[in-house]
Amino acid sequence: MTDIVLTERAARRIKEIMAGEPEGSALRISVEGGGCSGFQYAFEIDRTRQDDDLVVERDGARVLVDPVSVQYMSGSTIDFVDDLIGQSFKVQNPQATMSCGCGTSFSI
Amino acid sequence: MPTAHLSDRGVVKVSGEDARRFLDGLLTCDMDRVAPSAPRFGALLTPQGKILFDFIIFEAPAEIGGGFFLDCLKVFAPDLVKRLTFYKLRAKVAIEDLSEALAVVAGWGETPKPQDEIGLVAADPRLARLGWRAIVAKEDAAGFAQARLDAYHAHRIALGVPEGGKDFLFNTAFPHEALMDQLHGVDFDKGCYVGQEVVSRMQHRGTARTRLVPVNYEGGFAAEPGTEVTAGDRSIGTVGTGANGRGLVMIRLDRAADALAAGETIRAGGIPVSFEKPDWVAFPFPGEAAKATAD
Repeated sequence: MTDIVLTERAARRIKEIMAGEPEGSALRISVEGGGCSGFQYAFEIDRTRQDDDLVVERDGARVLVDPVSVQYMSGSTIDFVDDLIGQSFKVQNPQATMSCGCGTSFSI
Repeated sequence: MPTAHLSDRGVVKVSGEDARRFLDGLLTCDMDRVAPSAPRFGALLTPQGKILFDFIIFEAPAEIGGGFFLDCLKVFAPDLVKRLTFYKLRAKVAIEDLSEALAVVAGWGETPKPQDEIGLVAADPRLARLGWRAIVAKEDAAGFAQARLDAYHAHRIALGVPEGGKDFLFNTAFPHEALMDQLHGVDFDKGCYVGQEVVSRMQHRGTARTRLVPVNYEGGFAAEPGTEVTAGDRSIGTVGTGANGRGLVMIRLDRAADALAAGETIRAGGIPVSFEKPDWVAFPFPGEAAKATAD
């Protein structure tokens, strides 16, 4: 299962960010240990696509996910939200059994 | 001037370029405050905030290869390795159980700290009166065995310092209940770690009603660990370790205070006990006159 999708809002926001970055930049999302619930997402801008990366594209926006992180994120929808806590990318992950208040960490 | 080989302790090493950041995202203590000769007390919690493992983290200086050495309860060292590995993912860290090669030793009273160029010796980060603690090669541990392991635990119990896996079972107690907030085991000003939301809420709302507290046993013999603490016919807690008429008990502080106010005797494993507040503890103790509130 490598079905990770972007919402239209997330795609638009990624394109806005990449407009100020060098040609070929993409948003890399990875899962690492740590955070209130044990696992957290890390977001960074990366110009280098690795051979084993999963590439998710929509409306010209590109997201890279490494194969280890994919296992923890399959079935996820990546959204961009603008609420009282601030603007951020949110990963709606069906594998997460609980997540913390700010939404950046989760348990499986 | 006793020293003892803490043969119930094992050592887990976490090394690699991501080691500090990896541990900082998981543990209750701030890894930026851990340095060679400056170990810290900490724990790995469940996301629900219960203590899974508690340990003292030493850092080796770069000259001898660096890395962090977790001095933990030996029987749980393999499980600690497993749990840390569960969180590893792509982090550049190596996690190994070195319990067969290394040993933990301690000295207290007037025993001088051994001269050690590798930096794995320091005052106990929980409470200086516990003495010093060091990680040494296993074959050198015999040189630090003037006293038996029991004597070390009697010393620890006399000071009122609880230990995970002995005074409470792992995956049952919150850090506040095990006095980790009183023993410098939780850095409340650090970023997120596993279980942080629950621990932070307990700190800021002051909702820690259950705590491990030291008691004196009438008659000089401590009760069996795991037996009940009672007030009248009500259970108010569980007995932890004990030695020489002193012991630790995990109790509901409010129920103990109510019982004492009503003139009831509190018994641990059937033996009457009295509370004695250590001077390093900062929360109200059962039977202690309520502090005048600010006007």
